[in-house]
Amino acid sequence: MTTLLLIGGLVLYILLYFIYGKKLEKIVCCTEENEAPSRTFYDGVDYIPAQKPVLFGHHFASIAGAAPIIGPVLAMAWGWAPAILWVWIGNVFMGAVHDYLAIMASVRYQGKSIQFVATDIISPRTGYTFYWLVFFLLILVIGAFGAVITGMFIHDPSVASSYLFIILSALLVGVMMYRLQWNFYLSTLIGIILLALSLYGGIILPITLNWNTWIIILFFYIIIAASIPVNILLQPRDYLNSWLLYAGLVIGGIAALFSFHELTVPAFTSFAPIISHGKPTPFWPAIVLIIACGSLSGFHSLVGSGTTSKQIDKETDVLPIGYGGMLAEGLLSTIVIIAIAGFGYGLLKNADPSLSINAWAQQYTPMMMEHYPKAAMFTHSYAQMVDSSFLRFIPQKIITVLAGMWVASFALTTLDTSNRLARYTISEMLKPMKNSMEGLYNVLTHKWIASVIPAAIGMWLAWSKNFTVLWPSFSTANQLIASIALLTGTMWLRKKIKAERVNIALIPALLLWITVTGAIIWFGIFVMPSTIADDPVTGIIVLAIEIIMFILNIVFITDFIKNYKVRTYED
Amino acid sequence: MKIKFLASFKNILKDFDRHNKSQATDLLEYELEEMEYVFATLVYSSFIGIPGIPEFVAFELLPCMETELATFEQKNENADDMLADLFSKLSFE
Repeated sequence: MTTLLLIGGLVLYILLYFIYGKKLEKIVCCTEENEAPSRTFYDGVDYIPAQKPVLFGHHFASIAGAAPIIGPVLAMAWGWAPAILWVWIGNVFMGAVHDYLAIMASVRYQGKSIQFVATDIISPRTGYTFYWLVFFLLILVIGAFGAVITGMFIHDPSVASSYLFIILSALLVGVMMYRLQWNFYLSTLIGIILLALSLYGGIILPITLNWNTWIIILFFYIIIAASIPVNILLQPRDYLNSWLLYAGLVIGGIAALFSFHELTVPAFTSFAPIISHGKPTPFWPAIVLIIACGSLSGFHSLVGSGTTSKQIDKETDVLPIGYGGMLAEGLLSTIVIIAIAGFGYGLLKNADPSLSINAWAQQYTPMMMEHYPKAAMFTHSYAQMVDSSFLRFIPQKIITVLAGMWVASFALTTLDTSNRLARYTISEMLKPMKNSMEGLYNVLTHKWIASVIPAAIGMWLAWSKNFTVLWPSFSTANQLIASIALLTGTMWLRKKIKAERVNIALIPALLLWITVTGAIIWFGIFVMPSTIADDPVTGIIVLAIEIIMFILNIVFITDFIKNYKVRTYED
Repeated sequence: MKIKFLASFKNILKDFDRHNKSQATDLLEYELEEMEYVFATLVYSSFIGIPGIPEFVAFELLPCMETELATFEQKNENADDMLADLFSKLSFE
């Protein structure tokens, strides 16, 4: 059954890529005749035409991370069928369309970012809305991912020490590649050997610390990692991580295909199982907050309109890179769902025999958080899946640590990257203050102070261990950005392309906007009061962020509706 | 054996030749690049406040710098549009 599900997903993706994706390409009037910005503005630095497979690799490594793994783990409370359906449908009709339109609009805008397009096409306010949303998102990312990593490190101390060794290896590889300028292939080979040694080193030398100690260590780590030059740690580590991602995906894909296991988790449990903060969580609208990046993600519009659009060689490459890249990420989420659907029940039953299949909706989240917190549920299911295929000659412990490393290293990359980005965002957001309050502006945008502010708020949120509240609030910001980017894409289709069938983007964009707005309201009314009662500081910070995001959301949709009917100057 | 030795000797000599050629091309490329810089400085000298060629000559030469001008403009516009670039370069997510 696991095999059938994976084949089903593959067939669906391939079919819809050729049917729906090609149709979208036709609507955008994408042809090879239009010169891409990488050629028009070739400068040898940012604007460089890249080959399709190389750019696909770069784009995919940038968009694939820990988020599409953690979302589906939580969503299993609804059963595997709703989770996989949302991943598939959301992927093909929303996520991939969103990525495609963001990159394509950026390509036609000479490689400028999606917030620039939004500013130009909707209103200047929209550009600011982006900055604010991104800032809150980054704080919540630090909180949510800080909790994921800490949970992972405590549950599996080998992952913590392996990660420490990987940091050291990355520093070494960085020196080899950039300082000593050794041969690229030789450094890669040494890097992979060091990666394998780090895995083994982690297994024999686990580090055990408690929750608060890890949070403090992570707090200092992200401040330092966000302030040192990128080529010392970040670039070589990302490079090593991409090998980890490919190894994890290949092993997982093969195992899912050849494990021939029954799906033990129920297909559907209840419309409103217990997920967020012990509250019944309705499938609609909360699903967007739970699965988040597995189905569609607002980050992709930023990533895609950043460097990807500047390196597109031909307009026709956008379909495989943008649309195809998102489907590949959906496949990653599908593997996660298959792993847990096949092996999650057995794992939890072993940990706690009182688990009953009929009470899955009520028992899954509390038990999962107790025995296999967040990503650990995936790493153990994944290891069991590999063990049940012909790859069982690899010791299960190694696979568990490999999967743990996969999640932890991506989550950690995201963590320090978000702190670095938050630093830049603060200086962008405060620009209007520059002339009126120069002194305060200089203090707040100082390198170290701007690093400490988001790190401190984020880590304070993680300190509370309130993961089932932090995750949905992080997703709120992410999905809001996605809905704004998709609406921007729609507006671009209408105003610049003058497409007749704008509905291909407008309908999913509005559906997404309504769902996300509904989800924010549900979250604010049903989940936040009890969170504030249990943990006032976290509750109030999260609620304040949610309220501001809700207001920004309303401001944005008002601007969108106002501008939708307005004719452009060229008309 | 003798032929093999001669062949490898010939190869070594050829390598010398190849090396010299590549060094010469590198030098030429370097010179070209430097000359481009000098040319740009000449044409744009008034931009950076150094005494330069007469303006009418600069205007006549300006069309040769069309691509560079477009790149300048592009870089200038992108300087205020950094967020997506950073997200992408730092491989966020």
